[in-house]
Amino acid sequence: MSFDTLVARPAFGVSQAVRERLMLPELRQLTRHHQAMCPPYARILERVWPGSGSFQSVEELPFLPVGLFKQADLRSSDESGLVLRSSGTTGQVRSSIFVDPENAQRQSRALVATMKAVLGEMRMPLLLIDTRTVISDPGQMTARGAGVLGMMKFGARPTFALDAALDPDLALIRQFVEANAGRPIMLFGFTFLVWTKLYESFRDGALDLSNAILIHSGGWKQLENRKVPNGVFREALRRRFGLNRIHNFYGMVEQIGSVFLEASDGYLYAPNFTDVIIRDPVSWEPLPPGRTGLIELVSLLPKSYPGHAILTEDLGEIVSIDSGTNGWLGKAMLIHGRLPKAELRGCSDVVAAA
Amino acid sequence: MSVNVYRGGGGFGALPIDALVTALESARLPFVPSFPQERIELVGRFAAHLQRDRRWRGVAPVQALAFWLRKAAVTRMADAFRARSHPQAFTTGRGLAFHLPPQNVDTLFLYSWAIAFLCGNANFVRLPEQASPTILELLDPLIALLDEVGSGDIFLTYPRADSAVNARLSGVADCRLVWGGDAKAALFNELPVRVGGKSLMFADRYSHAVVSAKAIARLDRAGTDQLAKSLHDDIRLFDQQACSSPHTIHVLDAGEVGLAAVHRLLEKVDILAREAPSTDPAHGMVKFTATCALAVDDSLVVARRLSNETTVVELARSEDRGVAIGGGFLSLRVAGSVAEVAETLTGRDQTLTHFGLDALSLERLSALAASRGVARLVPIGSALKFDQLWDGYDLVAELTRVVRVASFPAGGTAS
Repeated sequence: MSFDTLVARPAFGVSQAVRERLMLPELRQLTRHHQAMCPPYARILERVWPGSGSFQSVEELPFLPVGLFKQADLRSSDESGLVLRSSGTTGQVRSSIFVDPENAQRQSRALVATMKAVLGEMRMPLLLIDTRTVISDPGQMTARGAGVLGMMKFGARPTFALDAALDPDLALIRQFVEANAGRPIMLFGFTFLVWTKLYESFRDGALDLSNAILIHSGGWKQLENRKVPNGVFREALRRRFGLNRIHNFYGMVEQIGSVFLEASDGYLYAPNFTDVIIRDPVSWEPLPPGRTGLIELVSLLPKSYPGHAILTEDLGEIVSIDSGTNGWLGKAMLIHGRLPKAELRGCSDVVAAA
Repeated sequence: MSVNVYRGGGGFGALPIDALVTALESARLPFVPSFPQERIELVGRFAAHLQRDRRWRGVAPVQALAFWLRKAAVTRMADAFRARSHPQAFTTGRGLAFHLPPQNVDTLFLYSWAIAFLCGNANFVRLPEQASPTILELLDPLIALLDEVGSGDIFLTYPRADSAVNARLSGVADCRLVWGGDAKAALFNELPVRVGGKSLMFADRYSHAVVSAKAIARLDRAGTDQLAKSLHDDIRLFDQQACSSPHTIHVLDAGEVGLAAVHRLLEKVDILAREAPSTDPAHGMVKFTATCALAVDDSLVVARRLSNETTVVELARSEDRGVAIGGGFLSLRVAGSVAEVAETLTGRDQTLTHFGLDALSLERLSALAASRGVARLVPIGSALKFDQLWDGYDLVAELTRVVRVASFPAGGTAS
């Protein structure tokens, strides 16, 4: 099984050519599996992607639009499991993703392999820049909650830095840092929380995090207007806290467990069992490195739902392939944000009494 | 409480609501017969101005507006109106007409205004708060012409959710024309117009095309090109979001010749769309998602993404009637007869554009469609052509008041 092979290697250690060769047979098998187990997916393949069953490359693999997971409950498993939902702002329809125990185990193995590349084998004391309440209701798990829960496995003695109202407990944070002075610690939080609750709560030099590794994700959400570029974010944290080891990651609930991790060059790398294809936003043809287009995510993980190839509504570009930064291989990517929303003309006003 | 009145040249000026109502009440008073020569002249001059103005060259919606408003056309409308007049009666406007045009079709408010103006009404028109440059540039010459003749017609704007203003202005309206869909209609249904007044609601509608596959297969190349252009215009002028743009194409006579000719026609429609692409990538994703969702529901048998501009799906079952995605999304539905077309129709449907139907089929279809609430059957290529007959209303009849003036007692009594 190439998934087992790939997940056993250092997560960013397999070159692009080798991983494509290893992934392709398994992607074929996954496609057949979903076809057999998920009749709606079989209908999409047959009627929307006629003749695509014998794809010869990862680029030819039929993909689903990310928005479909908001409109349909697709599952390829008869097991019981849990439904994950995207965070989504108020009023938005949220994705629902069905995860059975086997899928959850694949996700977990994949995440362990990926995080090991920056965290190593040892579990460090973990400070979460979030509130405990985000994980308190397993029946209503949000993507943020799932992210926090997923990352808790990688640290020891998790400490939550924020209270239920998302206000930072400054004394608790100081105490955590002082108690762990001189040994490696791990921080995890969503990007906008790290910025507004950690960065903005201290003055330069007021807290020494030079021994910390920060993992962050999730972007800016409702704080889009306060967004700072990644380079500024990294430099500001370095200056304020002496924090040098910062790793953003990119992933989505529709392909949970597959995360693209930031190397020291500031680019996001695809782990071995995943691939990323940038497509022209109009023709959907694959684009070469350096060109911005729609991001398609390919992953060997999704088995209990047909999400192994998803065309997202995010824009990005491939910066390099097999760069070798930190010894990492595969595709390195930059994210350029969301595709601007469509607006149609027409005689029916979208909002009442426009 | 105040509104912003458009003064021309891109500038608005605030006007307290009381002053506005006073101005409207005084504009309402003078007697104006329907289709007076000076109003015909004014509309004709406005149309001539639009036709001359270089900036509107090639701007199809404005050209269509100017063509519709040109003096010859308006004169014909007036003549037809007079030919229908009653003996011992005359017609005038109903009084004050309150226009609430849709947000996103820049030219519609001028059709609405022009008919009411020609009928002899005083008018006030609520423009969208974010009025497009097109709207304001279209209005500038009109306002100049209206000022010349001392007209009291007013183009204004205010926050759309301001229910106090909506209520106050509705209360002075003798007729209110609400364009823009169900939610907007529901909002205004709560607000009474002047006693004896009327409110015309133009709700959300869905439209269809009905074609004969056999007739399309028989077309020569030029005929196919012409039909493709007509269908393209129906679909593309407002991104398929106009209520009268077809979403579903019912295909008759497919049993004999199949759907191949229809697909070839739609490929030509797509080529025309690609010459002036108007679908942004996000809407391409919306269409792809809708396509996959239809497959999930087992509602389509095959889907073709011809380009980012055009997606064509073949519906699976006769109860599948297509979806209003817009922006170049067409559902093909095979129908064995016009009765099978009609069985999908409801009062929510507005226009049936047709091609290749013989006179008998068209007559049967129109009767069946009318019985289900559909009030417009026009050839493909005419979907977006504004007509005084709209949504089952004769707008001229709706916007006029017929005054009986009898010199001699009529026979019989109606006590």
